[in-house]
Amino acid sequence: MPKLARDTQHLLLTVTPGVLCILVFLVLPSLYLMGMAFLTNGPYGLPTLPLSLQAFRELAGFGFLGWSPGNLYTLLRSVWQTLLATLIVTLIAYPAAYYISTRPARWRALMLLAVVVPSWTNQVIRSVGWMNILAPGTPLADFAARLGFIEPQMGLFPSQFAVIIGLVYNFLPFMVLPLYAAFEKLDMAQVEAARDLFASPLSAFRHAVFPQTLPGLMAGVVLVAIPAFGMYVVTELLGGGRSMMIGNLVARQFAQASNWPLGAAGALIMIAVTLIGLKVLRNLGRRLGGDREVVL
Amino acid sequence: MTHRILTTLALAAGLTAGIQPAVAQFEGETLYLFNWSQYMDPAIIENFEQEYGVEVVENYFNSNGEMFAKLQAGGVSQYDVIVPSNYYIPRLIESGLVQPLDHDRLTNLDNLMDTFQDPSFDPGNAYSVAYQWGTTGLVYDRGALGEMPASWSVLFDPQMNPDAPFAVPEDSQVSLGSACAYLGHGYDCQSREALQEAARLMLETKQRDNFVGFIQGTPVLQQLVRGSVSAGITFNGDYLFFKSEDPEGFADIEFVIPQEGAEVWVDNMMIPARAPNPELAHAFIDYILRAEVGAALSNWNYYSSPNAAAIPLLEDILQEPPITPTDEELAVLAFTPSLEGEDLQFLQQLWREVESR
Repeated sequence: MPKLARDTQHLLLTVTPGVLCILVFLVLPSLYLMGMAFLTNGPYGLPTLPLSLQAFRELAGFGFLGWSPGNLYTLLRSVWQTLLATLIVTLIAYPAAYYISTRPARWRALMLLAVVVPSWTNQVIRSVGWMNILAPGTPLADFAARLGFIEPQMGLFPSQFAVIIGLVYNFLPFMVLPLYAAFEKLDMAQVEAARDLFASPLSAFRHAVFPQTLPGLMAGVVLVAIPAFGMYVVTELLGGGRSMMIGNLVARQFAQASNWPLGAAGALIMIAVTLIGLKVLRNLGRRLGGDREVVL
Repeated sequence: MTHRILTTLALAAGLTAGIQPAVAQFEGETLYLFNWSQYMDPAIIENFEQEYGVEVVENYFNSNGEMFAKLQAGGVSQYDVIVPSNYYIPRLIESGLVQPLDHDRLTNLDNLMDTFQDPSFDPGNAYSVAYQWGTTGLVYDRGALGEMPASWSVLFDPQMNPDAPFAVPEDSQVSLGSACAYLGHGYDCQSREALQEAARLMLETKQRDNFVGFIQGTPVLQQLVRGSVSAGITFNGDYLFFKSEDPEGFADIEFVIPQEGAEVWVDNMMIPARAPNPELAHAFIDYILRAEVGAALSNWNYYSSPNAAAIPLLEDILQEPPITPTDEELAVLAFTPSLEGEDLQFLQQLWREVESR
């Protein structure tokens, strides 16, 4: 076989599966969503022609009763809950990853396993577990009641507090793992150099440690924030109706209310907000990392 | 000549085999049943499978909205029998998701009570046959709230229940209907002003500190037993079903039909438009319509039977409240209205407002 043909064949063989995957699982569904978003919701809740902007008008809040900020609240609430959960995850995962990376090798593997193992169980089951931990009459709820945070009969779930716990718990491993990888490669010589040059512990961290872990942190933020923003299982089970996120709004249109165009329009907005978020994160990473290209 | 006679004979034999309700005709086939959870006696399924030599695959839904969405997403060609509630039936028919029934295949159709023979939502039973009927009422924990009147005020009046946790279903029509009834417009209110007022009440209710969320009729019972909810909305049969399983846990949990009005519903068997096996689906519906099967069904799931022939075979507990409502209760019970077009969109927008704030 001539070299060119063999190369072509080799290329086809290696590239085709990836391209097919992207085509089938990303491009086609996105095209379908885009088409769906511009259909009109029919008289019985089935998507029909003609093409219209009805779904986007509804999503923006225009309806029979004039304009309403309801959906905007949902979007802002999603952004807020995502930011809060990501922040808390980072505050827990950063020291945890450092701690794990400084343990002896055999402990490291075990501790990493302990971080990852819970995520082998289904999200629904873990959320139901939290329902039982936070329900009224449980030690945690009693403790919160004694401190005066809640009424004794109410329990800690359902609440926004429970949603944040659920989000943090679900996405913690996705932050710990990339940060651990960054800490493992940490070049201690840089830290020692900084200390030798009379840098305070804080500025040694700022100039010698933090920049080295930044790529891991950025990767972690992306892995946590994107799925958290689209989350609906945790809010559905632990939220109790006052912490609805845009993922719930979308899921509801497909699964309950039968307004597929509205659901599709909501999904497109989710994609747009996610892309904007990634752009902001990228700029932030560049700023924090000096001239270095950080991730993304 | 002989040849011709033989052919005729063979043909006749074939015809008779075809005409017979021929149980063997379905040997080895599969019926896909899409039903509410906790709603079908496993023994009925086993007997049907044995008698017809078929396999029944059961799938479950928890709300009419979910069922409708699944049909829309391809279920229309995946299920043979579905069991929607009365108010979804016109919508299913008009959107072409179900097929007309062949009454010649339903030999037991006359077993139905007169009330269910020609229902308002499906004249002449053209598309649907009643499966079970029941009511949706108020359920509360007497241990947490004390003795309460049969009134929606237990949910909607903060003075009646200032601090015990309570929930309402995510089914928009049932929740708004109950709020409408509390406001004095009746459970089946349809005017936009009344619905808007009900939605405003729902929003205020949702903002109360002791509102714990939107929980459907079946799961709310488990939360009542656990104590994480003290009042909610549920179905009479599910209430009795769980109560009989756990008499101790349910000793203080009461089910009442609020005097302001509440829902009476009929769930119906229908065949999706492109069902894989409509012949077997008809056979199954006819099987459920048998007197003894209808009675076994009610005796298992504790809902009322629409089957007149089954009534004498029912357990005593099913012949009294809450399963058989009193005359006073019957007077305030109403069907959930079937909505379409702008009315449907209006209601959905109202409910989105309630959910998103």
